[in-house]
Amino acid sequence: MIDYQKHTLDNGLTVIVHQDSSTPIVAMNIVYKVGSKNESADKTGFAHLFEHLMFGGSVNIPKYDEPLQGAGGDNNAFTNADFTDYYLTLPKNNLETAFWLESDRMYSLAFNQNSLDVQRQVVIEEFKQNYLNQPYGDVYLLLKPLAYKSHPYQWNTIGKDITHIEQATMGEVRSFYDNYYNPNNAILSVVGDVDTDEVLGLADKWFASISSPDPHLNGYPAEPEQLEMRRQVVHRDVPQDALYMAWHMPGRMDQKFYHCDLISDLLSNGNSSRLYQSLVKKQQLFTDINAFVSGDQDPGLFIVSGKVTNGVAMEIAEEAVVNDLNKLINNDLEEGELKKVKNKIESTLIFSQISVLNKAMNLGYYELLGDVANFNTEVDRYMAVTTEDIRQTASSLFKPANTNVLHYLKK
Amino acid sequence: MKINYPNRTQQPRIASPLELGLQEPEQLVLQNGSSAYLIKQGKDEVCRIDFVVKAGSAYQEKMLVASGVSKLLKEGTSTLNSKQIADTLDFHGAYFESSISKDSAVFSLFTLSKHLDALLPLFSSLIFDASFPEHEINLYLERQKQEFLVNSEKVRFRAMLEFNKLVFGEGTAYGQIASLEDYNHMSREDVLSFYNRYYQPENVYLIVSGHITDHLLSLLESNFGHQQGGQYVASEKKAFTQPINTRQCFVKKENSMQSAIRVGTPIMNKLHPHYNQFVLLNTVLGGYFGSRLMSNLREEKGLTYGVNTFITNYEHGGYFSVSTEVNVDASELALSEICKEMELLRTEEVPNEELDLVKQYLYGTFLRNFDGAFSLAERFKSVMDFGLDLGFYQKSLEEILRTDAKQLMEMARLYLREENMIKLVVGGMDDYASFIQS
Repeated sequence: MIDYQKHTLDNGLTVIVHQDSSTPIVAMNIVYKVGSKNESADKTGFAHLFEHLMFGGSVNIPKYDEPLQGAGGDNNAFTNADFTDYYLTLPKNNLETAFWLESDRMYSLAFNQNSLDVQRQVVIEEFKQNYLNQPYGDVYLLLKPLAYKSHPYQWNTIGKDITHIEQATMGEVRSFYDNYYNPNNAILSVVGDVDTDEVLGLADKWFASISSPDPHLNGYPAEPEQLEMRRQVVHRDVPQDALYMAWHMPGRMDQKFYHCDLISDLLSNGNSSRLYQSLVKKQQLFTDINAFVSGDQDPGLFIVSGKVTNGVAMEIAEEAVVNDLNKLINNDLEEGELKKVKNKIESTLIFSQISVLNKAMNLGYYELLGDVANFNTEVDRYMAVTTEDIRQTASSLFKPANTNVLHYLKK
Repeated sequence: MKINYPNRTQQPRIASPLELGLQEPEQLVLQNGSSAYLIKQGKDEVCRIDFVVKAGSAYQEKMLVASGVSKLLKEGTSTLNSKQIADTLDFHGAYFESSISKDSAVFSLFTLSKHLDALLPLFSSLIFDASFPEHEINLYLERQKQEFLVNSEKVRFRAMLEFNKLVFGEGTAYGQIASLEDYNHMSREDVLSFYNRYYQPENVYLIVSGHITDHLLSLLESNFGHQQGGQYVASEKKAFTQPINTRQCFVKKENSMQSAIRVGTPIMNKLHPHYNQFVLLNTVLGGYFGSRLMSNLREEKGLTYGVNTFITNYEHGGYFSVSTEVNVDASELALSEICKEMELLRTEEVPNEELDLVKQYLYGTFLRNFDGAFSLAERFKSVMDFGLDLGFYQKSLEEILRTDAKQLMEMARLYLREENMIKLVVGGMDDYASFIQS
């Protein structure tokens, strides 16, 4: 249970403050409600490229990083399909520098052509380093378009194709900024040994004068229900075959999200989990196996991925996974096993509250999802799940018609 | 309504540094002579227990054995099988992690305090009563072999192994690196003999951090204080490192889009009087986002997603290294720019403005490193191995903040000489023949 104060400025900026005196470090997080799902299909990768440009200087501050580092601060950012998150930590007595920096880049960017030219290259190298020059690196470039046919989740945050990044223009950078980087589209959270009123005063001082114009937001299509199983086979230069399976699941705010998350824990969280015990240790069909939920705001994916033991046929491996999933549908789950994964959730949530940075990010994230108050009641939504919920959700989730299968085979 | 228009052109004043204010851990000596260091901090009822065994890979007589032992402890004890162990840990929502370095193996248990009664007896038996079932060893080796094959496809992984060999010397205790073939030769006898020799009370210590109560102290005594030692035999003296014989090395990897580059040299450890000044120099060159190398290779030229420099310390040796992955066509350019930046540090003083910025940044890093009891435990371990205490950090910080540009240039002249650098490229390179010959 953490105490916080929430306040909304007249321009729509939401400010959340939580006091924690255990450390001299203060964390500030700003989340903008824009991600790769807001991109158009012929200009993918833009939200993430834009995140890089946010460090290329704002109207009054030529370089973002230098003054922050000079105040003992450190920072980073990430982009996903739903939102873009900027976070920093610095000594508590330099907190105002953080307000100065973050408000200036919300007020106006410098739109520096050189920065755009260089960051395009940096992002292209990032694309190569993480997706193209790694064994199995292109899996999600294949799996997402297999599973999604309409919704923008069909492309990855890094983009569909390097050429989209190469073609980004300064005009597009400006209109993206004007549409999404406004106070009413952002959530600011501050956690540390701070005085709440003082932080709210600083928020007012630095952010209240930034206006929120009416944005021109693009809508995007929902994903229609999948009606038949989809399969894809690729051959790559890798040492081991790998199996990827994906099923459409409910969005983050649906109570069934919690069923799915617990199903993924039953299947693969910890060495006692079902798939690990069955497929890695007992049958030895896989050398490793994972089940996880994508956690997207809109309906997302439930994914099982595993590396198949050399010499085992892919069909056998896939059938074994399906058998184990069916056991959940055939009602073999007992209370004790469900209790086990709930206990793990409880401790994970408590451990996630130890660092001020994690807390600042979580407060912003839960507010983005709808209401920061849900952060304190998150554990209850897991505890409410019953074995019958798991059985029912598993049976609609793992329907053959809802299944996407990728066989990633070695050449 | 009144709206403020703040002065956006002026950075708010930077405050003077806060004290780190670190309290030394309390030492508790258990009945059998093992020590537990206690770091009491934090409001949440959680704790972390690190169990440190001086049984790193440098002490193994056969490849893979030290890490094998550390990973296989949780696969069976004299009374519990692998599944029962996993069930108990998972049911109590605990995390059990093991890590291995060249010097030591560390086992960490993260748990809510309310589960300590159930978990500490298990934790103790994993460490002192492991049984290493044959079928678990075989399965472990098969899986490791696959992982090794996958990792070998990554230029970064290949560069890490290759550089280790170059800097410490092939066949030395620190320079040894495993090959695929080694996975066929680790036997249960090897595992047992290493385990019985090194996993003894005389060769271990504990660091306990978080919510510490008297009850926890009595649990430590009853679970870790009664094992009798007597079988521990210190290892024979062997060479940890040897002089470098190859300084330029290229490893070709077909169809690679990027090359992994390492440039580096052996360097002093924390006990050396120049260590703190070198930490500052390392940060200027490649230790933070605004560093010379990051500005040059990433922010000016767009050659890479990232470039960093590291100081790696082991008890009997260490190194400084630059590490990056670049577009294959840029391998030569990146190498020459890395050398150029080192030369600049040898020949020109770092401007005061930059020096002040880096000092402030490092000060912030020190504060961040002590955020919470669990990070304090990690920091403590990394000085404990050199016989130092937490006071080392306050002294380091003060010395860093005192260092001037002249002293830094002196450090660069002493430790960043180009002729001392190992240069390694894994991936692709146009003119590698002349690179290797030069």
